[in-house]
Amino acid sequence: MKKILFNPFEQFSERPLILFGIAATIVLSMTGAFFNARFDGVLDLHFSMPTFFSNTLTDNAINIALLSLTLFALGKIRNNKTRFIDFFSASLIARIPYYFLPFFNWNNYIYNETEKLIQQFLTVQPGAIPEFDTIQMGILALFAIVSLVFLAWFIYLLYQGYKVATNAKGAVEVVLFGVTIIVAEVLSKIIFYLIN
Amino acid sequence: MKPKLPDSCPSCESQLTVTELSCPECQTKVSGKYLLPLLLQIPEEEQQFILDFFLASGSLKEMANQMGKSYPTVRNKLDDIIEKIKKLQPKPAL
Repeated sequence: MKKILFNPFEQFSERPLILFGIAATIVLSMTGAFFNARFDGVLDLHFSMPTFFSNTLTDNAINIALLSLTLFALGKIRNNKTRFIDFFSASLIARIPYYFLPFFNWNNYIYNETEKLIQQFLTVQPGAIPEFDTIQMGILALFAIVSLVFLAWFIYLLYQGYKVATNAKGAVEVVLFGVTIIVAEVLSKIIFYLIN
Repeated sequence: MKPKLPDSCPSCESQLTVTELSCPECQTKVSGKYLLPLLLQIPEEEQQFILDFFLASGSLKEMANQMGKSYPTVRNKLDDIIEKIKKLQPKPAL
């Protein structure tokens, strides 16, 4: 079970990974739209209204394509034997944990509370401290912590996929992987800026 | 129990050499100093992997099915063994 959750790439071939990854992406894009989530960047999740299924599906398709291509480019430089399909399956599977975060926005709770918080900051007198609701702050803090845990899970899965695809070993590979993810994030922000 | 052929010295971990061979039929013994063949210098599990790979006609896909692992995992294992054997190969004299 631990292997399935944290490194399915070692055990499962590309076909079941891709089929499961595509099915999960489609179904969880629907739930993402239901909870008004936009994945407008490789590492991004924002809540905005209204959000349609076509929005979340396009977001996820762009992010998966970008991650697959940038990691494949790095993988090809590091190990000529690597295959694009392994990066594609890794990108599909690694993002799945991230798709569960929109469930926190049940009844637009996170969106509404964040909006309230912004309003509190905007309307407060200069120099004064805004009054925060403890429960509101607690839930937003919990959401932030869970988001970080799921982001770490997503990155860990992606690195395991990269490692299996390229036979990567050592600290240099970790650094190169990190730099590539940042490049993918920057490229995704440019693409989302241009299409939205 | 099938005894395991040691590939390194249990005391200092240096590479072992063959100093005696014997015939199980007539008990004739041959003494000398022979290097272990290259494939016997790697762990038994890796020797088995090479044998299975050979018996699978060199198909990594077939190996992946047999081992219940993904294709890149099996390819990585093969690449690691190739690297190990390359390091064990005696360097050609200049």
